[in-house]
Amino acid sequence: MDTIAPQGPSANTDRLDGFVHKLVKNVWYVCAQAREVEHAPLGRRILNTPVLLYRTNAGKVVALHDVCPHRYMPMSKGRLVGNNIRCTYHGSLFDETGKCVEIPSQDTIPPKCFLRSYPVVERKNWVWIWMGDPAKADQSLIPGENYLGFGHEDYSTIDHKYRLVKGRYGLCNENLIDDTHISFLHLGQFESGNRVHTMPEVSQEKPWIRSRWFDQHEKISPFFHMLFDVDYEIAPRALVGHFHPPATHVVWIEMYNPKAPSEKPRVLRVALAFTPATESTTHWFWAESRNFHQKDPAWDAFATDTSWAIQDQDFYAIEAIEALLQQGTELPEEVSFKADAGIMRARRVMNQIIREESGEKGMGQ
Amino acid sequence: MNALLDGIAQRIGACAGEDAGVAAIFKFDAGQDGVLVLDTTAKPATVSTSDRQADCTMKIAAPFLMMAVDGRMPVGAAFMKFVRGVQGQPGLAVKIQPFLRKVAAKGKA
Repeated sequence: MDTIAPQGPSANTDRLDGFVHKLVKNVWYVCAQAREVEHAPLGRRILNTPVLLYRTNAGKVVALHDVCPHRYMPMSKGRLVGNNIRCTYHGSLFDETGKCVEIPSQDTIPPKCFLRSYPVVERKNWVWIWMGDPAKADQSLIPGENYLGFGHEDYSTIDHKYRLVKGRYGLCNENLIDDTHISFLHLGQFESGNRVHTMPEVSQEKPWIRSRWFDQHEKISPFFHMLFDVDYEIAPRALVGHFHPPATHVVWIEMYNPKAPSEKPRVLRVALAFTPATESTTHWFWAESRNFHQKDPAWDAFATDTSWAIQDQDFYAIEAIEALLQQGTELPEEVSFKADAGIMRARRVMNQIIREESGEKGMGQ
Repeated sequence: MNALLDGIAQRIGACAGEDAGVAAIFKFDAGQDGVLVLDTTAKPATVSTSDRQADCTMKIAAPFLMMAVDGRMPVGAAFMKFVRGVQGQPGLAVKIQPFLRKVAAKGKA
């Protein structure tokens, strides 16, 4: 099997278990599906930090540190009083900005008695949070809704449930960027097994890394016959992936009609967000849109069933690798193949982002 | 008749009075085990192991079709993993799934 040469001094140290999987703070992460956040406390760990989410009576999403500064009770165990949250342990009451407005056992409020508030933005199906320096929380950095496939007039969207994956977010990223696993881990479901023999075009178009596979003569799998509702045996097909470092992906499949190549293709568009819960666990958000059979409940149900079945296969691989990494056994030097060009480019970008944020030099530099 | 196909036919037949949501003839081709033909153009729907022309034919082994209709696996996932070929109108293979979910739900109840 072909391998690629190390790309400069950092390549061998940008290992699966290394620097490139450190957490990045100054970025927008998806913290919840919009429908998950109700007028009730929701606790979720983001970047190792417990976060409390809830919606005010006016519908605004609030994100606060999920730790009462009095005796460290999780605030998500508390209850809402109007738009305020009351700690269930000793009754301290905090408003939606995190300011303490009542301590039942005394009249004065110590200055340090507050909950940190996090910038949070609701955009259609997803809620985004900024865990880093609030002064840097530029909302224009959030990928556009139409681009993600939400609310686009030509598409209908299914917003799947999220899953907490027992694997670091870097493993999730690389699973998405690497398409050669389709021919093995998802054998027979997407294609005939030839994907592994074709190389992607990889390019960097800031702010994303783009990979594109195109096959003029792709044999259509039975699954895709059903999902895309097409009866041709062979059709031109493209698989395009955009990775927005460090944690968001947009992937789409374009299925062309071989009898009418200029016709608009049938497109299945998937937006994914991988938000680190801890160094070794990841919130996996997935939303799927399509420009055919829009708002058809039969296709919505089929897409939901199948997307989880596919992702279960991905989780199987990711969690198996994470379990191995957690064992602390000595690992052989990691080998990469030519088809890993996208991953290697992503690792270099991740290394740069982490280095810039931490002021730390990348390992091996 | 294959016992497994017979069991599937009984499960589907128990829901024949339900609205299938689509009117067409579906054939599940289980290879050497035989075929199962579901006709939702009839009211109530009919199910048979006698071969006939269908609007949509799905090649799927009997044990896997049973997993879909007895609720051991979500219908869509079973179709994705185990349907090995589709002939005729492939979209019908999706349109019949809501009915098969009813069959699975009734079997579980």
